[in-house]
Amino acid sequence: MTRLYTFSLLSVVVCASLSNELVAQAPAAEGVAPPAAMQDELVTPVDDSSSADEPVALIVDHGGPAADNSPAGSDGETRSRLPWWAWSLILFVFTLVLGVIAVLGGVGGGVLFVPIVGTFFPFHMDFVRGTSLLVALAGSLSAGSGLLRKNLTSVRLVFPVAIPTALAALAGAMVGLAVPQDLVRIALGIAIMGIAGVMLLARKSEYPEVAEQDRLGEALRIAGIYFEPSQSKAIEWKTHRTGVGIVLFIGVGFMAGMFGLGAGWANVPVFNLVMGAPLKIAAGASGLLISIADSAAAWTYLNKGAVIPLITVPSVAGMILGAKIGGRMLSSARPAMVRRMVISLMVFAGLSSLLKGLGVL
Amino acid sequence: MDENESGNQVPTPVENLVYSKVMEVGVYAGLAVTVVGFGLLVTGALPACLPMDEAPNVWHLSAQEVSRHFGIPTGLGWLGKARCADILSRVGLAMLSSTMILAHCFGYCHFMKKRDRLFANIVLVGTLILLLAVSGLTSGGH
Repeated sequence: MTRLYTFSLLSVVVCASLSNELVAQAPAAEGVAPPAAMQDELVTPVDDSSSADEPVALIVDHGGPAADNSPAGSDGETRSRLPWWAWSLILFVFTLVLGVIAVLGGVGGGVLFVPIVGTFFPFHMDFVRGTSLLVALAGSLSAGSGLLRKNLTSVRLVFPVAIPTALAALAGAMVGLAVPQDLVRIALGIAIMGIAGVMLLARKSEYPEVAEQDRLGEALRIAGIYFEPSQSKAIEWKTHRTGVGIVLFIGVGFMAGMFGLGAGWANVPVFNLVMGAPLKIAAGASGLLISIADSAAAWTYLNKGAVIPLITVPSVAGMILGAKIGGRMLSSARPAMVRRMVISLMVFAGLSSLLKGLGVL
Repeated sequence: MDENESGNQVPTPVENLVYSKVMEVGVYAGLAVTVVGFGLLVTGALPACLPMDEAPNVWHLSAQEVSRHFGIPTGLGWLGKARCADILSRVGLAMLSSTMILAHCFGYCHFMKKRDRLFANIVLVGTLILLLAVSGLTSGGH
């Protein structure tokens, strides 16, 4: 089993490095050069419905970067040498492996997907974050239905905190789409390394002690009961520190929207350690919260055009399939060891993102 | 309350079942449209607004730059281009992102029927926030 995990982790690193080799650095240009098929005709919008969009200022300088069909973005980004289908295939394999690792490591996948794909693949961060949000959304919605039926999540716990979280996710998405991607990469790198630290230090409590419910939680009747098969008994639960939880979720929502993360890494500790929900309920509630907050952020990315199906569909398919394979491997996994390996990979991914943002990579 | 599907003595709240059913339908419908759109895209059965062969030349550009290159409107305007296979696939992803709005609509009716006005209002505010995101106002659309 250890060999399999090591192989999976190495696959991610090798796949990422290989991707990096297959992109060519295009020099920064003052304008945006068009793709080959469009160089003969001055690019104008295909449809009049976008008349408010003026044709982007194109510099077709045949002696400059555009001459070799190497359009450079406003951030002086990279372009790829491979055809679209090769990238879609690489992305599918990569997310499949990532899906397995994410489930075994107890993370959502976004904390690895965004920094690794954003650093080593030739996609703009807008598309990486848009894709990551939809990957998280598809996963949480798929799982949410079953969790609700099994009573392992609670709408009474999630909906009150979902309002500020979704608003913060919206704000985060707007900020994330407005700032230069190198700045996003630097902030993301720091955030991912911070998250790795939180994951390393945070403890979990199966059944936190809640002596007395706070007034807000009481007014909202945030409480419930679920059946625990391992003890063959019903567990009653209630929460406290609702206000503190809401404040923390505002920060979590902002980061989720800005960096395109599902944010399960933060949702579970806040529900569990801060608000006192049992671990199983906290995990289920995290999924339901992601379904709401990421919907708000995902629509912002969709409306901005930050979703290309050639990138998003293979990623969603790979991650869902990988998560299913990972789920089957869970019974024979050694969670503590996998978790340590995932945290190491997060540090690597965060550092890579930081260095790329600083122009070192 | 209904009995829990696992057959234990703890019943599942009706609101859980309401949301569960809508989410299940929403996910299947959204993924189905996404896959159909993607199938039409890669087989070339429908034209694409962002041609596949051009994608590797432009996906390093920002979303705004790509949208402008290919005349794909931002805001909600892109939905008008659903005759393109890539946009149709994006419609499926948008359906996925709208699942909770639909679920909230059913949830609102449920809480109103239960005379739980406080929670009905919480659901209503949650729906309005999601509709704000859908409107395109937060994306600076044109």
